[in-house]
Amino acid sequence: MLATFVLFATLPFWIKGVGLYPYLGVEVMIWIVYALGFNLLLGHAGLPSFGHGAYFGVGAYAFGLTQLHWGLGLGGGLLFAVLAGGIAGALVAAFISHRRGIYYALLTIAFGQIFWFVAVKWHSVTRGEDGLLNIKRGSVLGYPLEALESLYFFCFAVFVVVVLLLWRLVHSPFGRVLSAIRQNETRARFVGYNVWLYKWLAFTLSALIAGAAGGLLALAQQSAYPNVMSLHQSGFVVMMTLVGGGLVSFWGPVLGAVLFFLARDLLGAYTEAWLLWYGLLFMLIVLFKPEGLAGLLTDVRSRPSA
Amino acid sequence: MILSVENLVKLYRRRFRQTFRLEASFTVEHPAIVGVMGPNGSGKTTLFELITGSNAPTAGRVLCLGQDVHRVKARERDRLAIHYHQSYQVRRFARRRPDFLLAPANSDYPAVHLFDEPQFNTQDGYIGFMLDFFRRLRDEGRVVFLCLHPTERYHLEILGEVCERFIFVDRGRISLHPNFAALAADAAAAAYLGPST
Amino acid sequence: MFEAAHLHKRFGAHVVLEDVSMRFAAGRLTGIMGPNGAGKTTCFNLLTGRFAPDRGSVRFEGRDITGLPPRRIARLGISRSFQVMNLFDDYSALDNVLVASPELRARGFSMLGGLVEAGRAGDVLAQVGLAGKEDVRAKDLSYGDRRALEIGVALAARPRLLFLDEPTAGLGTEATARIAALIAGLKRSLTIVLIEHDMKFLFGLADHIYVMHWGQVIAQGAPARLRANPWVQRSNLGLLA
Repeated sequence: MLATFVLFATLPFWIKGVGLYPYLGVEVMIWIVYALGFNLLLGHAGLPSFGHGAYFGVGAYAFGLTQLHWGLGLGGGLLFAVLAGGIAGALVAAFISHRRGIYYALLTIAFGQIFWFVAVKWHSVTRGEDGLLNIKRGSVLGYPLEALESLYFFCFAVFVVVVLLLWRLVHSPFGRVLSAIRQNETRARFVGYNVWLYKWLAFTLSALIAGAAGGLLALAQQSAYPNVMSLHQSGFVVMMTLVGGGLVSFWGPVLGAVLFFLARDLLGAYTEAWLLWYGLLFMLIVLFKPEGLAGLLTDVRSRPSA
Repeated sequence: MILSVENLVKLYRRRFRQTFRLEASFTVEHPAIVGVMGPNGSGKTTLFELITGSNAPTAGRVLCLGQDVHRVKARERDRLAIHYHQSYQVRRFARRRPDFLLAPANSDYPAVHLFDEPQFNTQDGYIGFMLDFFRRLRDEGRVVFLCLHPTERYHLEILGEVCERFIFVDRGRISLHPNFAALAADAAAAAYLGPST
Repeated sequence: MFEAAHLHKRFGAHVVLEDVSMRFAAGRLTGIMGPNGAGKTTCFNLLTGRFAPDRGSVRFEGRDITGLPPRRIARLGISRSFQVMNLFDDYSALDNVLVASPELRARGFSMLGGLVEAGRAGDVLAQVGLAGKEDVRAKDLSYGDRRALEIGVALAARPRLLFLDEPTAGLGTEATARIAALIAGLKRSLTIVLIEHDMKFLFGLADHIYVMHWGQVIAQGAPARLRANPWVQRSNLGLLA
């Protein structure tokens, strides 16, 4: 954990040296927050959600709307983004938490598509395909976030808070029970757990965090578009989580998100089809190392040093 | 009157040629354990299916506790008569009209229990419990049919011990016998039972 | 203590329960036996809330629990084990018991708190003969140990009534003897209902036995009374008596 924090805390000072740019760090942190929240659901509770972009997008729009129309300020805007994501998630979770497996996954896709459709069609609020533009960043403690450095460290602060909270959550009794439900839902019922409520909570929390990440995204790119809500982009977070190894490690999604953006920028410099290559990597990992990069690292570390 | 099988006919045809014909007409007025025997393919199982309503008759009717089984909602027919093939209840029911046009069952507990070739094994000791169960059902006022194809010596012993009357089915025709001796006196039945009796 | 009256259940094709009534007296071990497909496990599923009966009622300590969901029934002090093992496979033996304990259940919604003490969970493991295997993952335990853990998870909730569904399924003679000894020990402090199709095993342990067949109770009574049946006397079992 310390290594991750140090890495991101110092990133603005060395990233130009390796030929990249600090804004990439902002993007990566936002997606890490999103992916960690997503992994609470997929990796820890074992609930596959393939329409998670919806809550990411809801957060982005919520933040954008508060900044454009309601003037809630930065803190209020982000809080509203978190709440909006959470409420959207809570509503959907109420309809799907009695399901499991493939039916659960299909329902999350269906609901995700509904949100995406609304975002595209509800022109008077979301500006449709054009998206919300010119969202003001505001300032924190007198530092205007228009400056990249302030933006970076603001995102870093949120990132640290979310990571610490999630780490704690995963290792709390609640996290223990979620994992037990993933391993054996039937038995969890028979030892007295209200499985529905736990699944509902996991989804709601995960959507809440997606909302926070969405709010940060709107803040960072100063705009909100419907495309992050599409099924296609919802798939990105699934890929990051699985490639990184979210099923076996808390840090899986972190690895996955970093790798995703490195692939985008490094492979993307050579070929338009970088996503194809990333997709192939995803397939190879699912086929040969379903535990992902984190699983690979564990194997390497536990190998007796000859 | 617990069970009344009235002029029941079941025809099976293949390309206009009749391949099998079952006819039955009998009544069971009082609680009893009835042994049912007959060669393979003689129509024993078909008879049971007709009684429980899992097979539709060509003509005639089956009254169970005064109610025509084939005019009772399919899912409630097992409240009148229940048919077990080996270990499992037979739960396919034939109906020509949807359930909502049919009558509800007038009874909550089946009055007729048909056991089709239950698996008796002298090794595990369950036989005694099964026979006691048949007697208990009878004592509670129900009719028990026990269909057994005697392949072992003790099968006849079981039938002789527990059954009070017998039905012999042979090539689609049934004959009634008040006790085992009468059954054994029937020429066809005697041939079926073989020299062991 | 526990009473089921006139249970009926119909599923699509074959599985049925027809007018099943049972009583389990406090402090006794009641056995349920019968051939495969007799409806023993279906009966358990109805008694422990997995399915609601179509008709009939289930009462526990005077309270109607018909149709309550499993978690509510579990919280009243009724635990069960499964014939097909249902463990938390990725968790260690100790964690399996811990997750099933009322202490963790009570704090299950604590999202930022620490875990509960493992002390009692260790006792439960020792009780089922898994001392020293606390940290072995459930999926890495031997078959016999998994059977023991299956009972351990059921015991973790400190039930007053324990349902055991064929705890010796698939075990050899030696492992069966170990489970029998375990159950005999539990019998002193718990009310137990035990499904078993091995009559010999059950006759040695039970105070009262229900025999099921065709989804019905075809016989019941004390082992000695059931054993007196002439056909039982003629069977392998009679020869052993």
